[in-house]
Amino acid sequence: MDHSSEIEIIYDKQGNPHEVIDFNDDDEGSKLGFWFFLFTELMLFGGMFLVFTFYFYRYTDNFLEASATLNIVLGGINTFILLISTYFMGMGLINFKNGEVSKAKVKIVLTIVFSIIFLTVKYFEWMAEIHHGIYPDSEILNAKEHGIILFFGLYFTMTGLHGVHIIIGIALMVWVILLMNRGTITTKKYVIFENVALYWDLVHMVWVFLFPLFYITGLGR
Amino acid sequence: MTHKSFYDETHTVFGHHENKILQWIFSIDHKRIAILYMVVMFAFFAVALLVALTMRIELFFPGEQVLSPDQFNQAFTLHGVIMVFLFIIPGIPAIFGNFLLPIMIGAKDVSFPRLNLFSWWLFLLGAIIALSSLFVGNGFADTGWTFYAPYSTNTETNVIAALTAAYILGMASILTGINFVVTIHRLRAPGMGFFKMPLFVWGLYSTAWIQVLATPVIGITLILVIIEKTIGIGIFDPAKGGDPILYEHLFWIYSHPAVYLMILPAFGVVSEIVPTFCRRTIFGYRSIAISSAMISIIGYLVWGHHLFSSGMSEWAKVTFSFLTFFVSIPTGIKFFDWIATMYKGSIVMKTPMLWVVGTIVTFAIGGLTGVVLATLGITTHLHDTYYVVAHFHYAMFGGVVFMMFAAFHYWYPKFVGRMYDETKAKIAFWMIFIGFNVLWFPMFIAGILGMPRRYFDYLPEFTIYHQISGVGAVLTLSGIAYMAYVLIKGLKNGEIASANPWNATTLEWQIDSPPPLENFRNTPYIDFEPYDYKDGVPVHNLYDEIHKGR
Amino acid sequence: MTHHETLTESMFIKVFFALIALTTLTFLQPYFMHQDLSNTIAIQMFIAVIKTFLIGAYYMHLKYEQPLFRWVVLIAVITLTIFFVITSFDAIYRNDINDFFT
Repeated sequence: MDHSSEIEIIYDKQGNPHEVIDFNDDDEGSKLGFWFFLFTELMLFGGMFLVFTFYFYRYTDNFLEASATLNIVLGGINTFILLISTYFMGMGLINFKNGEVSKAKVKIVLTIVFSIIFLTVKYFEWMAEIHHGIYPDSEILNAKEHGIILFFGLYFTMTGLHGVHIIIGIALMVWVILLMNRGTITTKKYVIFENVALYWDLVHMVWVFLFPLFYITGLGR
Repeated sequence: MTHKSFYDETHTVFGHHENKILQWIFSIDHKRIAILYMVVMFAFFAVALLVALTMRIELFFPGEQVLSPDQFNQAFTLHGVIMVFLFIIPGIPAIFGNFLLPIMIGAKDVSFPRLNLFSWWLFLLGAIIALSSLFVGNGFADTGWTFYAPYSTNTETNVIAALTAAYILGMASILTGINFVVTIHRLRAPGMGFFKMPLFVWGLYSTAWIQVLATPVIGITLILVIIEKTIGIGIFDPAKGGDPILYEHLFWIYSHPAVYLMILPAFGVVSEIVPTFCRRTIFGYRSIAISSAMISIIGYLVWGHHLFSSGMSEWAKVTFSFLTFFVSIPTGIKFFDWIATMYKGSIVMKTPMLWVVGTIVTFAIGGLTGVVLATLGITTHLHDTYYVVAHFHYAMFGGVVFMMFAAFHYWYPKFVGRMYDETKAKIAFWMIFIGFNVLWFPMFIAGILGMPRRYFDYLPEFTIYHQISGVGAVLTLSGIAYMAYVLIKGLKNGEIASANPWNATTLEWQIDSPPPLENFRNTPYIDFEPYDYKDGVPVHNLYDEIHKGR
Repeated sequence: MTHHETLTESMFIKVFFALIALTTLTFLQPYFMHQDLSNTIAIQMFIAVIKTFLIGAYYMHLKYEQPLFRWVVLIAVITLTIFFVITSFDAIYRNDINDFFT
């Protein structure tokens, strides 16, 4: 069944050869497919940002007020942590392409470590809000103005959705290391690693838009 | 003809299997996956038809007959959810797209065969979750398939199950869309540029883009409703400052393009059948191809015409009405091209062509009544009446489903290797066509006179319309049952079909019926247009070239 | 792989430092540039867009891929923009009096 080592060549009327792409061995295709998947992630988060923008417009003052109560230090730390994690991920890919496999694995592990730190910081941020009685459908939150209720509803939902994607990212990175050990990902065939790196960059991109809208708008007021 | 077909051998995941059932449900062959989709979809189609019949029986007289008011709400929700998410949206791409796309472009499979199988498994999972919600708790959702907030966030029926099912089905749709787009970009046979692809492929291509672009938006919308129901964030709850109209925006941002998901592959089917049975090349190939892309694009701009009576701003209403008029233009182009192809062609009125002619009538009615509904002055009067119900059934059933029936009759010999009884198939067509119009045409009138949709009961003056519709429903269902009988009979008793019983030109007719596992032993080089006829006969015959060396 | 030009280590590191600088800027901006709300949002989104460009072009290799990939991203962005713009017609004018046609 596996003819992936034989390339099919066919000829046109002038006798020119043409290669027939084998779907079992099409890295460009895999990358293209993954980009379309990232596309769907963009639309998913885009929908969420649409909801956020809609309510920001409607309840601007409430949103700014609520934004000012968020912990800018923790938010800021997380922003830099995520940025640094993408550095390690990207550098790991470059190392791998140059044949430096163990360096690459170390970088992936570092990315995982930083991601876990991100999640931990986020956990403390959430706990702080929850300890103040601010969580969806809480008595304290329901007593506040509409815009404040919605701000925090969106805060937990969007950072939560983002966090879920980080957890998935960590799982994917572990999987990449396993595949490297198994020899499925090699320095000649590493499209899976490339795709996971792309995924991580997308997760970062979402945060690039998320944190100014949630944290910076209320800053310094 | 003792060649092996894809029914005799296959590729599977999780190793080799002796068991025949495992060889089907673990198969990564696009042709088997198409049939797997077909089996599940038909089962659910039958369920949804029975639900519809039950509603028609309930509505035959005013007052309560066989359903309580709450059960009626659940019935139309179930009917809508199954028909929209489990039958029509996956519909033609899942069955005919999966089976034919690789073959039509000269490829041996799709770009991601295992992902393709995974899509089917997701589809099955979504279907099971949806169906099982009928039997637990407070029963199936009663919100209508549109799940409008705030009712959907407050009702006690199994909305979360229905939403979860819809989300999983959406994932299956997205993965199929990704598969198809990449396949079309990467695996076309050498020489086949975009403007040498068959028009069915153009239809699938435009559809796949919509699947990828629009489905995630409903994904996030459904998730938000689930989150709202479980932890109460408040985004669609007016008591917390939320906006139900925002839900409607988000829902229809997907669900309007979704109707183009339904119709674009169907138009592609018509574009395949018309040249074959007119024995000449299609008129305006490029304009049909580009009109598919245009429908895809403009279709994103019109979702607000579902919100005309919601309380949207006047600015938004005017914008959407204007844009909706526009979207009818590319469809009009297609109709013009098809009719131009038929004009002075030597038409062979076999069953597939009969279905095409039928749908040209019914879909035209569906489309034109859509333009009526887009007119702001009239729409408020007709909103949520039977006029709307008649409109979308003419478009979805009289359009997509009729075209799907046409596809079944056209590609039947390719799938099965046999032919069905032509005369009986034509009788089935007439039963369905007449029954369909008796069922839905009165609803236009009832709607104008004020009969509201989704109503369990009605004023006595509407009785006659419901009764005529009821008779039409019985005739239509009998016709569908008869059609099923004819097609099933052909499986065992039909005449053996050759590779190209219709004398068509596209690549699927240049290989055996049914196709071998690998589709093409030798990939052909394509340097010609897809509908090349000369004096009513196909110009290119690639059968020998493809099978050389067997 | 048909990459003649590819992302070098030094380019990657340069982009990293650019991102660090831009990120720092986003945190400082409200303090040293006192702006009203719409200007703050404009500046923040502008910086976010620049960062996205850098991440997309370099980290995600779009600069080095076939044009088709860039089209995919462009179409996603255009589609989202359309959604935002048209929805805004409702958001902004929702409570206006409907007197278009009087």
